[in-house]
Amino acid sequence: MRSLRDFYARSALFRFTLLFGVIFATGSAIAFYLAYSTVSAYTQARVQDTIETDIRGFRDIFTASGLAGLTSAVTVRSQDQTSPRVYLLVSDQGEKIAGNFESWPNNLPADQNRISFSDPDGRQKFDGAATLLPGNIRLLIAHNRAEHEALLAGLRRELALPALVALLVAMAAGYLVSRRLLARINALNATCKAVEAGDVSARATGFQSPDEFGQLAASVNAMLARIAVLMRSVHDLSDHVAHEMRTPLARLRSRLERARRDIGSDTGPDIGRSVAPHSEPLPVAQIAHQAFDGAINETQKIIDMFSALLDIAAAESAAGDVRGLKPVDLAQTVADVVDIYDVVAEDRSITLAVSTVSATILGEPILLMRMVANVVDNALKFAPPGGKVSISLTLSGVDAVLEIADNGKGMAAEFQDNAFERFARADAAQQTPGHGLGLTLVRAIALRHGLHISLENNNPGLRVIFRGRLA
Amino acid sequence: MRALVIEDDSSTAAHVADLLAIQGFTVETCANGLQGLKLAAANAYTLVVADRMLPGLDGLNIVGRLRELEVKTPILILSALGRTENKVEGLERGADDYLAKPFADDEFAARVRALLRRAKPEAHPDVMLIGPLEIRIKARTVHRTGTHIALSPKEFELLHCLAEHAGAYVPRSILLERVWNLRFDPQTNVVDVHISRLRSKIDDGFDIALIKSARGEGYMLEAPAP
Repeated sequence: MRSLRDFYARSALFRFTLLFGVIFATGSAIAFYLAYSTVSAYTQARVQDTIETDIRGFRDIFTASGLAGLTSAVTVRSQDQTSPRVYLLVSDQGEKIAGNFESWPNNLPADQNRISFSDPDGRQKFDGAATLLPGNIRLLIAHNRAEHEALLAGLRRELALPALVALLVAMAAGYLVSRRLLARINALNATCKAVEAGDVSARATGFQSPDEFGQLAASVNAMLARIAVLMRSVHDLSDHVAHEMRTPLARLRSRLERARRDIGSDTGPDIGRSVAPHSEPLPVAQIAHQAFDGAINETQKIIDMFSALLDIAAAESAAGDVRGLKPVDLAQTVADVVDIYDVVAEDRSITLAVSTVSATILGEPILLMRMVANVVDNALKFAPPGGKVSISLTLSGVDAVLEIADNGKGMAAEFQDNAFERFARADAAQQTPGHGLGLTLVRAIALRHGLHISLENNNPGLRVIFRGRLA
Repeated sequence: MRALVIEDDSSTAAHVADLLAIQGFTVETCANGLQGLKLAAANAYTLVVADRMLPGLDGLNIVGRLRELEVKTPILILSALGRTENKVEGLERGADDYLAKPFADDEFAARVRALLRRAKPEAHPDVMLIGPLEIRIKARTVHRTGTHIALSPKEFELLHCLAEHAGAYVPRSILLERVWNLRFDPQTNVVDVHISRLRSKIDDGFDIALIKSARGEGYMLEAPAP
C-alpha cells in the first residue's frame, strides 16, 4: 500500500495517465448522458405521436361507422399479440366494450393526451392517451413502457463497448504523450543531477527544438554556461587576489621581521644600510617607528584593495537589478565630478573642457559619480602637463552619450581588450599609483546601470565612451 | 564623559575603549545588542559606539530604537560593512557617523571629536581664533595677523573643518565628506591639491606654517607655541 502511494507520488507518468483517463471518462460520460437522454425523449415523443394519430383514426371510424365499427376496429387491433400496445374501449357506465386491457385505471382522466398508469397488479407501466367520444364512450390507447426501456437498454449495451474502448485509447494516449514529455523532463533532470554531482560540463539535450521543452533545455544550458563563466572568474579572481595580496603582505612581513632583527640585535638597521651603507645605527625607537609606519601603510594598501574588490563585487552582483534606482541627471554627476577635479587639472596645467546637456538616466547617484570620477581621474593621470581632458555629454536618439577623452599616450590596442579586468595595468601605468581595480569598478558600475562602455583611440590619447538609455 | 561601547569582539572592544579613554572618557563595554540598547536607553552617555553585527540586536536596530525613544546621544557605528551604501544606510537610520573596520586610530579620534563638537549645547562661536588666524564663520572671511586672505568657498570649508579640529590630525576622508560630501576615496589625492593651494594662501610669506601634513593620511591646523 505504502509502495503504491509512493509510486503514485513519484510517478508523474502514472498520475498523468490516470488524469487523462479520468478527464476522458468524465467528458464522455457527459456526452453519453446527453445523447442517451435525447434519444430517450425522442423515441418517447415518437410513440406518443403514433398513439395520438391512432386515436384520431379511431375517432374518424367512430364518426363514420358508429360504435359498432369502432368496437370491431379496436377488437382487431387488440388481437395483435406482437404489439406492445394496449387498447380499451369503455361505455358511459365504465364497462369494457372491447380491448386487451381489463378496466379503466382508477382516477385516469377521460380525455387527456399524455397519461401514465399501471396495470392492476402494478407490474407493468404504460404511457399513452385517452379520449372521450360522443355518448360518454371512452377510448384508451397506451404503450408498454417496458418496450421503450428495452430499446434504451439495447442502446446502452451498444454504447458500452465503444465507451470502454475509447477510455482505454484515451489512457493509452495519455500514457504515450506523458511518457514522451516526461522523458524530456527526465533528461533535463539527469543533466541537473550530473551537474550537481560535479560534472559542470554536462549540458541538456533537445535544446534545438523550438517548443517549451527546447526552450527550457536552452535556458538550463545558458544558465550552466553562465555558472561556468562565473566559476571560472571566481577561480581566476581568487588566484589574482591571492597573488596581488601576497605583495603587500610580503612587504609587511619583511618590514616587521627586519625591524625585529634590528631591534633585537641592536646593531643597526638594514633599512638605513640600504640607503646609506655607512651611516650610524639608528636608535631603537626610530627603527620601531619607521617599521610601524611602514606596516600601517602596507595594511592600508591591503584594506584599500579589499574595499575596492568588495565595491566591485557589490556592483557586479547588482547588475541588471533596477530596484532602488532613481532618475539621475548625468549633467549633474559631471558637474559634481568637475567640482572635485577642476583644481587637480589646474594644478597640472591640464585644460578640463566640459560640455553637457541635461540627460537623465536611472541610477544610483553615488555610484555614477564614482564611475565618472574614476575615469576622469585616470584621464587626468595620463594627460601630459599642458594637455587637455574633455568631458562631453550629448544625446543620441534615446541614448545619453558620455565621452571622457584625454590626449595622453593612449592605451595599446592589445591592452584595451582586458583593460577592465581586475588588476590589469598597462605597462605605461606601472609607475602611477593605484591598485589596478579602478577601471574594473567603472565597468561593474556601468554594467549595474546597463551602460555600454567602449574605448576608442583619441589620436593621441584615450576616449572612454558610455552609452545608456535615457530614463 | 561616559561612553558606551557595544561590541562583541573583545579585542576590538578593548581597543576602542583605550582610544576613548585617551580622549578622557569613562568607558563601559557591552557585548550584546539587546543589553546595549537597555544600557544606552537607561543611562546618560556622552557617546555610544556600536558595532553593526551584534548578537541580540544589530547596531542599526539599536540606533533606530534609541531614536524612537527620543534618545539623542551621539552614536558612532563601527562596522565591517564599509561600502558607501552601507554607510549611507547607517546614517539614514539615525547614526551620527559611520566608520568602517578596520579603521585608523587617528580617524576614529577625529570622528569622535567631531561628534562631541556637534553635540555641544552652546552655540558654536562665530569667530575662531587659531594663533594668528582669525576665521569669521558667518562672514566667511579669514585674516592672518590682520591681513585679509581671499579663499574660494571650498578652501574656506577646508580651513573651517581643520580649525574645528585645530591641534589634531584630520584624515582626508573627513575632509572629503565635509567639503565635497564624498563618501568614497577618489584615487587621486584631490584633498592634497586643494590643501596645497590653501596652504600657499595661508602660509606663504609667513615664517611659521600653520597647516601641517600629519603623518599617515591627513592634515592638521596648529597654532604655533606661544
